Amino acid sequence: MHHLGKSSRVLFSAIVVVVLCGPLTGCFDLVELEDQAFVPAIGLDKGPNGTMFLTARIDIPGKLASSGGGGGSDVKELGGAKPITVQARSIPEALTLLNTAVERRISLTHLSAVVFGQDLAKDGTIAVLRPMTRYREFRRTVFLFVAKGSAKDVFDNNKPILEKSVTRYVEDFQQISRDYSMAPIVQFQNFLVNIETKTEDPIAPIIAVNQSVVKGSKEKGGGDKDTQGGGGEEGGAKQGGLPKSTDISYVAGKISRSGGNPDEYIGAAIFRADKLKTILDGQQTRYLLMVRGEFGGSMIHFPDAQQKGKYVNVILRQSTGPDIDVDVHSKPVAVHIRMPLEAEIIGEDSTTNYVDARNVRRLEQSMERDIEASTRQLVTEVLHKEQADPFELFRHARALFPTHQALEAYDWHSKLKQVKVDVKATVKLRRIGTQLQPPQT
Amino acid sequence: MIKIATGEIGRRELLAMLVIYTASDVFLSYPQFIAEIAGESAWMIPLVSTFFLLVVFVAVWKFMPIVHDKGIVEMGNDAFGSLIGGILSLSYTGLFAWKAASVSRQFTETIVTTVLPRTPVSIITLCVMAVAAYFAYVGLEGLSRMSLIAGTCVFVSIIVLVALASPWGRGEFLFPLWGNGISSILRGSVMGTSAFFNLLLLLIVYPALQQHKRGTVRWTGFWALAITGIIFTGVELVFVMVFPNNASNKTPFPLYQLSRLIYFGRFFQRLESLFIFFWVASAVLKLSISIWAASYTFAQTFRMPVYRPIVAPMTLIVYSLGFMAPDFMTALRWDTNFIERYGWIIVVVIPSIVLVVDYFRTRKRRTGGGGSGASPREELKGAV
Repeated sequence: MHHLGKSSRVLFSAIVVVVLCGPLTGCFDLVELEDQAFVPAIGLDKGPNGTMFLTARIDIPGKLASSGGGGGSDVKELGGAKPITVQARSIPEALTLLNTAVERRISLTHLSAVVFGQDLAKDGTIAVLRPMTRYREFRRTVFLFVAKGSAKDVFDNNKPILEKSVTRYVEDFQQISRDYSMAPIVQFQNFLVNIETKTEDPIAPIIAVNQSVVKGSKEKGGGDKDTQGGGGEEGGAKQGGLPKSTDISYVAGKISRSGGNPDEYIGAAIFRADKLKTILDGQQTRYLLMVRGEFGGSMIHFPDAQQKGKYVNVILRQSTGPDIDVDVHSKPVAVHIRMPLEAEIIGEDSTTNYVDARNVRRLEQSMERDIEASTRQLVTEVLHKEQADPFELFRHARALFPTHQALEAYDWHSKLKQVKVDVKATVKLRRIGTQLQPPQT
Repeated sequence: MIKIATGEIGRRELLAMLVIYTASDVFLSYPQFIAEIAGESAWMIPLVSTFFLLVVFVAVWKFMPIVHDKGIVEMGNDAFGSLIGGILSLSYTGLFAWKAASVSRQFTETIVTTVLPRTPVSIITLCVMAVAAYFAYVGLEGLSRMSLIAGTCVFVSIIVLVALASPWGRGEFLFPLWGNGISSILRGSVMGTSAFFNLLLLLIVYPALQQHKRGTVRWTGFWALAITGIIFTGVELVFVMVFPNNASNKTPFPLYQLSRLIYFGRFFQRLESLFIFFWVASAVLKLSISIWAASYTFAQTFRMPVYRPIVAPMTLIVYSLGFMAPDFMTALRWDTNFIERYGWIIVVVIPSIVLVVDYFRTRKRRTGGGGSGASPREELKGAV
């Protein structure tokens, strides 16, 4: 173009720009938002004869928008529509079949949660995980859950109190987990890394249907259609009445309550490789998370060391990650877990004065004993009985091996049955809330 | 203000070009390739490769021409005669053409697999090839300037990407320290040098360096190697921490996967689109430089006065070579089995031998021909 004059160059450039405007308006991959059906959550259940059931929620943006961002009363279902279930041999086949009943192209680009049914998880998840690692619409940041029972039940009974958007609902769980540590936060990447690293095993949060809430709401409200569907506080009020159970429970699906969402989010599924082995309750999950160094904090009650039958409520936090030492040379293998924790008193039944340093120390020691015993029991039980390492204990021993081959030859899982567990918790009571001494009568 | 003459490149532009050409391999399969070899210790491979190359670089330091305008092709001809020199030069042409074909195929396949699944692969390749051919046609000066501009952005994007993905990393996955064994690290490091085209490219382009900057050409080469090594090592460290052994060797597009993992709550996620922009820029630059270098060395081998008429047929050859592999897996396998495994012979060994032999031949000729007998370096000192 060097021989062209200035005006010719301007003209040439203008022609190029005008010509390019045409083809640059779109491309082969142009897909309008209105042409897609976004699936924010799927549930996977075991089917007969090697098949599976895929339950999908489809977001209906129009309905969500009309609900005013989360508080509308016209939307009865999470996401705006009832879940759809199809039977297939694989996820890709299920998506294809799903599109026979959905008029827009199914898109997983907004997928935020995958729920495994209990039976499928017991049989092994790797077969369904494989398409998720390959297919580009799945992201490794998707959150995983295990349904106690079937995933379809969990989907059908899910009637959140506040949220209408599935994605918001799933994101809320992450905050709840960080604040209360009653269930782990597990993304697909964490799960896969645990499975592929042969010396550790994955975990997943549990989501379960509380049948007493379902039953209660049907008795009180004459069916879930009227009582639970997105009515917010209205639904909760109608489901009133005291729970009938006699004791407190931290077991998923068994929490003593009435009203609210029939689905409960508490506990952890423990896997051995890709197979579900056991389910921990909410209290055990706290100790599991403490050992993994993922304990964000929680309100916990401990027996008052001074007054029998009374309790002290504290907010417990992990001050730093646990210090774990695996002695691979001892026989049996010994695991030493040291957990530094910090506490803040937020309430008590008793009249004990926790300004007094001796009382503080007694409480700290009492909490330490309690945490040590519970953690030791949990770790020992899971290692010995399930021969699984969901605590990621062996990560702390990796540096002891010179090569990957030596590490794999060690066969950590074969040693788990005899592992000797030693737990040392150090609790430091940092604060006592907004009151120096408890009110007296 | 110093006026840069047409056809000359500055020191910073040369540095950027050398770094971006080599370092853009982090966007392709290089991190996975070395992770497969060394496992947990894969991050050591770029370090050891860089160390090897710096040793070679320092060893041939004395022999590097800094005053005359002979490129590697002419040096080969002077050192071994036209026939052997020509064969050696064609090996550079072949390697650059093959590398261009490999990059174009891997790049387009990655685009099709990840972001544009419905677009025909030929359309993507044509678009990329057209831009690359234009860049190659414009020539070294344009390429080097683009390398400085785009290279800076790409460099920053790599740092940001790695920093944002690093919360997924666990330091424990860097152990066992020796990964798949010390022998694997050494083997990988030798093969890993195949990715470092710095020395070869430097010896092709340095005659275009501004005359008054010639004295710094060796330091430019040195720093290009060091910076490339640091980029490779940093990316590999995070990659191995995020995708531990057994997982890292199954990830064909490591940096893309890392970018898809970025997740900081509700608003800060799905950022890969941002990084794809830089990734495309670096791939196009790499492809352009490859086509330019292949055309340039080919033209020089056959003593053509210009290289531009070669660009179009070379682009066509690269396009055809790129589609010789029937599928992406074969393209990856060819890249691993040929370029990665044996490329180091052409990018490191042959240029080093040519340098040394040409140095002594030139010196002997000058001594025999009644010259001063001083080395080119000494001549430069005299000139300065």
